[in-house]
Amino acid sequence: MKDRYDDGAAGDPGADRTERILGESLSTMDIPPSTLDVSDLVRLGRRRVRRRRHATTGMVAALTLVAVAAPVGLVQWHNRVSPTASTPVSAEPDSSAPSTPTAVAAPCTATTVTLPKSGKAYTADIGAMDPSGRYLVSGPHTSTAPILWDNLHPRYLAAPGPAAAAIAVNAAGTVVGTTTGSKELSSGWIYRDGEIRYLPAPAGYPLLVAPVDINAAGDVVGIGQSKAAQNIVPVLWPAEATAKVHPLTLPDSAPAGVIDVAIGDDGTVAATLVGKIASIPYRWLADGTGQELAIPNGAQGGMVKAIRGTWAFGSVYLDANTAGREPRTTADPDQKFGYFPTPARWDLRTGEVKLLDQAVRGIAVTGNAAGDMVVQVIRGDGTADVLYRGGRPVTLETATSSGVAQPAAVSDSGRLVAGNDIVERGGQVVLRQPTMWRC
Amino acid sequence: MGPETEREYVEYLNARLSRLHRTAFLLCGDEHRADDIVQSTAVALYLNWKRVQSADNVDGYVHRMLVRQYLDTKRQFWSKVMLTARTLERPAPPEHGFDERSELAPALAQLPKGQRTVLVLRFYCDLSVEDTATAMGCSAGNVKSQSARGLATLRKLLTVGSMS
Repeated sequence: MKDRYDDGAAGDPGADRTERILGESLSTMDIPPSTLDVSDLVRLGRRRVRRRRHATTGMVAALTLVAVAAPVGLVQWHNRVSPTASTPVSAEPDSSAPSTPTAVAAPCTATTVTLPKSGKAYTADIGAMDPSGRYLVSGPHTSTAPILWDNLHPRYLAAPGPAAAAIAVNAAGTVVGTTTGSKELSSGWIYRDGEIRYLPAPAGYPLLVAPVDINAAGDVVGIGQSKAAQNIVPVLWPAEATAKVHPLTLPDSAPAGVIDVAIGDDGTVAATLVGKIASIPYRWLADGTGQELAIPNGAQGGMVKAIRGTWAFGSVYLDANTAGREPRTTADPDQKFGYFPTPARWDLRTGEVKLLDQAVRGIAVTGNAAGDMVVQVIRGDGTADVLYRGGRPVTLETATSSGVAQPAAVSDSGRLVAGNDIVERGGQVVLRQPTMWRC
Repeated sequence: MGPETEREYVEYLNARLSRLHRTAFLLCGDEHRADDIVQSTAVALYLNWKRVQSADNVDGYVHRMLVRQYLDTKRQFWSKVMLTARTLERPAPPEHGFDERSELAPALAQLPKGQRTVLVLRFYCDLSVEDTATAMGCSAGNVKSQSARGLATLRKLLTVGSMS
């Protein structure tokens, strides 16, 4: 078979030179040292083999997940964090949300979500769902144009650029997403009333603009990188006039910027600020005033990932007694400081924070108005996404015979859960089956 | 895994860990993610060690696993954003005494994921076009075109850098 492209630019002396410099430089340039150790890796491998023997079906795997996330070594420091009256904290398992004792016994049933018909083989996953459960959008593992499902009927969105991806959708079916411009910098688009438009960048923030979340009214929050300060700040596109886009003012305590942003239906913006020692969960009220979200005494910072109803979802970093700790794991960059994240939920009316369960390591990545949360649980060798309701894990039936349910969003009613059924073979993902669960 | 088989696994990993880590770092440009990618690869390798060991080209097989882990990394959106941000935060190049090596890492980070992966696998890992194609799950033609485009972009970035 003859290829259309030459390997390198033949006849161009510059090509050889670039290749030579590239090969040499890649081998010799300074890179940060690895924290990995062969004996730790062997231990992880052994543990994974043991777990495989025990968890023979997806059902059993889901039920054992919490036990796995709380190994013996972690139980010992369970009581070390002692909330005091000065901080509004409740560390006991969540009791305000409706308790569903039958949740584990009666799993939510799976329906596979169909993709748009196409003559070509392609893959897609579900990234987000609106709070009503009517609209779904495709996620980052989608090889085609972004997909919008309306009551499970799929269609492509003609978003600009080859790398366009949907990020969030609201109950009106308005979608925001990102694309990559000519300089490979992210920029944002919005799909509303059947049309796609670029989201304008605020003045002075030309380097990077990306929408992240949208509320019921259509207010969009995202991030932008300031030309002057080079830091990443939250950017707000008000629904009534996206052209009046403006950055939010960072507090003096955290000039370095944000790593997560979210917006509530009342206009509250929540964000994880990059602090000097640890990340800081923070919120701006609709009038622009800001304040830090409470964290338990003894905790070191936290993250906020999403707002639904009057709840903000995220995590706080608890002090891990170094004894009995496992090797550092995926999505747990702060472990080297002796802190690890535990899922948390803030009541934005009172400011009170509740921890899901101090024995669970992980981050609540989203949730619903009833207080249910989707938690990215951190295990010894990776992460697993689990839906928690009333403080307890909810079993999601697997859509495939060998897959693991990975919820991405839960509707406000709690009856619809959207996500993907993940099939792994030999530690590699071989299939992501878009799935809707009915509970 | 029996003790003898495990010893062979440990020997392999001891010999290759730093190289795997460098490859992962060159691919993703982030020390934490690089460790995560290598850790996931090592665990998957442990689970499949017997099969991998019997492969004709063990290193090629392991590279394929590593590239899959890298391409599968979750939260792709954020990783893209943060990578771009980091690239832009680099200090301005010196006015005199331009050093192509110090400029190369940020230039590499500006390349699209596919082009970056091809260049790292071909020119750091020394994989052939065919092995690179197998590792990435694409055609040899695709590897060649991404390689040509990646090199062209790098040359342009380096030229612009040296003139500024």
